[in-house]
Amino acid sequence: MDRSDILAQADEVLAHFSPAPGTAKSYVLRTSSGTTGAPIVLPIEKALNPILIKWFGDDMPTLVCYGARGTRMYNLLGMSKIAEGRKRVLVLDNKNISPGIARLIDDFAPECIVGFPSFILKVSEHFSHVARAVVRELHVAGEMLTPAVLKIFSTTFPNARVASTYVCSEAGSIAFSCSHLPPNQYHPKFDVSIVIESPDDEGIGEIVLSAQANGIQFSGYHPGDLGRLHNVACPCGKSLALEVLGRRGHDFIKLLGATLRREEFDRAISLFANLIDDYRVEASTVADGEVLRGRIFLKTHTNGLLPSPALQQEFAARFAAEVFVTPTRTIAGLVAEGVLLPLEVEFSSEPFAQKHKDIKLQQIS
Amino acid sequence: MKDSKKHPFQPFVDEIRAHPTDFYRARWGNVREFASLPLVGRADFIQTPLSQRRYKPGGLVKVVGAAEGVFLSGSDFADIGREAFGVVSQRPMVAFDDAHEAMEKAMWCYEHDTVPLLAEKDPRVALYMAGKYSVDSLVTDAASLEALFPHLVERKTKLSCISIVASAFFPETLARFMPYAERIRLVLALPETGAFAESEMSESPVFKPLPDCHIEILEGEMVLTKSRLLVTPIVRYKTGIRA
Repeated sequence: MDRSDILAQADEVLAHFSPAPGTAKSYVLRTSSGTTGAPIVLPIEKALNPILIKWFGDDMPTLVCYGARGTRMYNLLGMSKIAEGRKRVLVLDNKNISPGIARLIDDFAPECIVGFPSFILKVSEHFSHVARAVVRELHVAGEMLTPAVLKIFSTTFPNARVASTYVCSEAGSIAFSCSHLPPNQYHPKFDVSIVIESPDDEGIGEIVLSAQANGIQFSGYHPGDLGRLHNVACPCGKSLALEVLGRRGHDFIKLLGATLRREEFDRAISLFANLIDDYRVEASTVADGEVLRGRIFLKTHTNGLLPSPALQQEFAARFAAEVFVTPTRTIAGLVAEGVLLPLEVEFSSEPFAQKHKDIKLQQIS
Repeated sequence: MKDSKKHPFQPFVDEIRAHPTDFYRARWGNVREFASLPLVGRADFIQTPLSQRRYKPGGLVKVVGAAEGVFLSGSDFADIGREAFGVVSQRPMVAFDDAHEAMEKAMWCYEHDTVPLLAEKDPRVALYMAGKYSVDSLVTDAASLEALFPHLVERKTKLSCISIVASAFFPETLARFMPYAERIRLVLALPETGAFAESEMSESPVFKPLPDCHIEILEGEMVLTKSRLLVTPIVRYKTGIRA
């Protein structure tokens, strides 16, 4: 089952979508980003499962830090419903993140923050020490919890417990973290079936899920992540843990709001065909003090002699200025904004080892 | 007989004065008559943290980015539902440039038991979404409406209503949208006050105050009072709108 099957089902569901009277608050219309094809508009049913009720059923003032408005609405609506209006919720927008926000954060004094780790870290730069100490809960989703991220979380929000959810934009919540499991490991929801496709010697392969969600039958669906399953005897009573290892990296990688697309790298590399024969990209996040920055490491195989240091430097500058990682900005642009570290390039005359899967883009922790 | 001389909002003023939160009490001092109460405005909201002008718990908190400065504004979910932002329909679309305004108006739809299509910021995605959901009404601002124009042109049927929520309107630029909706409502509102007057779209709109809203014109400026207890009540609030 691939994305086009989901798109066809979603269109059908949307065409006939007519919630019963009194149930509107159970649904949010969400649009997937369209990173891997046409966007999907889908009514997501906000199921009030016990974990979400436990997480959001309190009165803690909560800051929501997600990018897409549909995702923000999904969280706001869930919180308003679960907490029956008792909860104060501030849904932050990217454009609010400026020095002026510090005074407002002090005023709002969130005890819980939910969102993308990278968004939370960006906002946290504007938290006073008092506001940081007040935060007790961080509920994150959508990105890997790398050691760098966890390190900054622990120093920035010393009193906060971190919980995370593994989500798929079309199917919703797939699995929840547990205080007994290490980071990036989750207990799958009881109604979600997960298998690992073509696992390697270490059991790592592509995550494939089956579930009935939002009126769609997800049968053998590939959300695009690598992972492995662990049989565990968790004190919480669960016996299965899914370890998520990041995007499969075949086509694109998300990095701090930027999207590294294979086709864009292929295009840019083709401009240097007289110099570069093949390439691999490693993307990661690194802690730079209390700020998280993206690191892109381009490994190249030259088709002749290794270029001189001056030419290598020139190539790196031109390549960074050529590759778009948002609709309007290049690697060089985001380096200038401090989102990314300067592009690192390695030249080698040795061809890359040919593996079972030709993975050009890879996210590493 | 003495009561008959009281302003209709006097009991509301007394209720606010008796509230533990002293934002208004501190400003009003010994003045008790509604018509004599000192005016408040954005400067007061900017200077005073929301936590010190909160008269009700819970709800949505917005960041209001005004020319005068940035401040927080709170709304109880039920109060959002009582606003006159839109007209209830089966498949409303909410499209605002400001994300906070968009969330609030989407919550308005939910309070009326309808599932809104909340437009994403990217106009291309918003257009795509509008076509997919077959929207039947719009709650929007002028800038977002402009971005949705190609969708309106492509539609085979008129929208039941377009509600434009703003603090100023330019009928000459909005006239081009009239063929695409059964009616166009102009809803006068500020982010921190909610809606307070409305008019049907025309060459020279005539705004009528909404229920529970009392508008005074003082030195050419609209001064607003809303007679419902809001998270931060609006009592003799200088809107900055000339009238």
